[in-house]
Amino acid sequence: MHKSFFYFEDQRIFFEKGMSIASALICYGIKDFRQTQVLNKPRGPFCMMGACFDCLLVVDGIVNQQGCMRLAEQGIKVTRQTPYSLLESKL
Amino acid sequence: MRVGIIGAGPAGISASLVLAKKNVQVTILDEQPSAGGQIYRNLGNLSEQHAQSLGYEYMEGQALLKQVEKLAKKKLLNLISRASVWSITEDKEVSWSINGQSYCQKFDAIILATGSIERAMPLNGWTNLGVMTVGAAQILMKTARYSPPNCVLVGSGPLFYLVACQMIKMGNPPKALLETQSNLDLLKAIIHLRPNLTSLSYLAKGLLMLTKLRLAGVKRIKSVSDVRIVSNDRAHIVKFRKGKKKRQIEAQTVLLHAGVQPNIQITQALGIEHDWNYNNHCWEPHADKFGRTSIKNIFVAGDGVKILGADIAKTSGECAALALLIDNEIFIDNADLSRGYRLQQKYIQIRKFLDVLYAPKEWYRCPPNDTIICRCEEVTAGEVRKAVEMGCLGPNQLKAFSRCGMGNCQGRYCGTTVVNLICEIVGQTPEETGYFRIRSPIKPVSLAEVANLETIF
Repeated sequence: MHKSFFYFEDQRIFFEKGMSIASALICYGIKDFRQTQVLNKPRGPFCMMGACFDCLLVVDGIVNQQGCMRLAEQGIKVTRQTPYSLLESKL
Repeated sequence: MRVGIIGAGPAGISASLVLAKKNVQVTILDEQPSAGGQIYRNLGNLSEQHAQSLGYEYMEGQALLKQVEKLAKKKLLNLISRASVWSITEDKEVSWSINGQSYCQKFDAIILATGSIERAMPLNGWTNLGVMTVGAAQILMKTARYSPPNCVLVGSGPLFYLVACQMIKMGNPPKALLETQSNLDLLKAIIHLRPNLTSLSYLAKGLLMLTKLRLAGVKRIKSVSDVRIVSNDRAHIVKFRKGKKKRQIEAQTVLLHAGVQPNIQITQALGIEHDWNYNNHCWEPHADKFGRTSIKNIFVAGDGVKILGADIAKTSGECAALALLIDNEIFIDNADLSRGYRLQQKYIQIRKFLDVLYAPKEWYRCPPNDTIICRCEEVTAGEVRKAVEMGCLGPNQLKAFSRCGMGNCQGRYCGTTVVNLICEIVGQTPEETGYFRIRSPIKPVSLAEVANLETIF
């Protein structure tokens, strides 16, 4: 049934067509998406509709990608976003 | 004439249908992967069975989606999905981003149908992992057929009960509902009820939902206040007060909901005047009864103007489209307009009842000092109070004092709380307090993308 997958850190995340990266991760019980910039606390999806920017991830090396707005795609590499990934970003 | 519509929810779609029938060139820009807005989110892609499990009101959107799809196929209107609008100027130049590429197009008129966002419910622990909004849970059900297990819902409002009922239907009833309203609120609200058909059908819907909850054996605890969420790796403990008693309940996921408010990001960035709605405690763009704003040929429609729900958003979208046609002398018939207006009035009556019944509570409108109110920059209510006591004059100066409202969400989730807090401390009205000055880009966009902006003629 599940065919497509993407990578979250080193884990394969299988998803159904039309799912966002955030909903695919939540289905796997993954809620920790990023480390906050001020207090360095873990943070995850909150509004799921593109308003709160709490589900920011690094997708294929590009930072600040809204996990709830980007559709899951075959083979993409998704990682948690930390204050350091902002420094190492391609953009 | 070229018209740009922002948002493909009920208001945006209805407006586009009216305009397309009059041979106006319509482009709808929508941020989601498919049309429907949050209310009919993903409806076009679901199996009949899955859609049915979300209720008949959700299914009702199919007619609307089919019409817009048909027109899009015949190239009678242009629907652009996954487009995040990040700038609109007074000259009606719209810029949007799709997957890392930005485009810009100039329109002759614009209808803003950007819908609503959930009101922030800042309480201790609302930034913890696994604490989401009720709306977020509904989006998960609609797009991923996933309903979070062992949920406790905190808050009130029509969507609150609707989502609880949808969770039951998906075979995963919530563990408990912690409701912030009391029986006294119900008494206060009842005097605003008018015995007309619209009000009665709304009430019937509400009572049906409450019956479903009772039949499913979902525990409802009313008059809950001072909620705090303490979380560890596995679970949350929701601590709350009911009357004088302190109680707590364990949950795997906590869902918050304190009603919805218009998404005013674009109207604020355009410099349109806003009025404070004292019933719903939020800003609304100032518009006439058909959606005309202070800028010629920029209209607003749907829940982005006033929270009245999906049905009235359709009428409101049609009204804005008709007003646009009339103002530009394309079509002149005031009969449809006044019909639409009368319909809106009926909904406004039932809305007063709902606004009073589910009015946001003081304990989270002005939360205690240790509560984070700005999720992005992690600023607490205490820091805001301290800044104001030190002489900070308003929301915009508060940015310099604390960075509150300067994060990625650009004040979407702290703006209203900041207004409430400043009003509380200084003892002034929201009109005197004002709001953050919102500027484009209203969605983060990279400099490279702006440099490579492609203009569509």
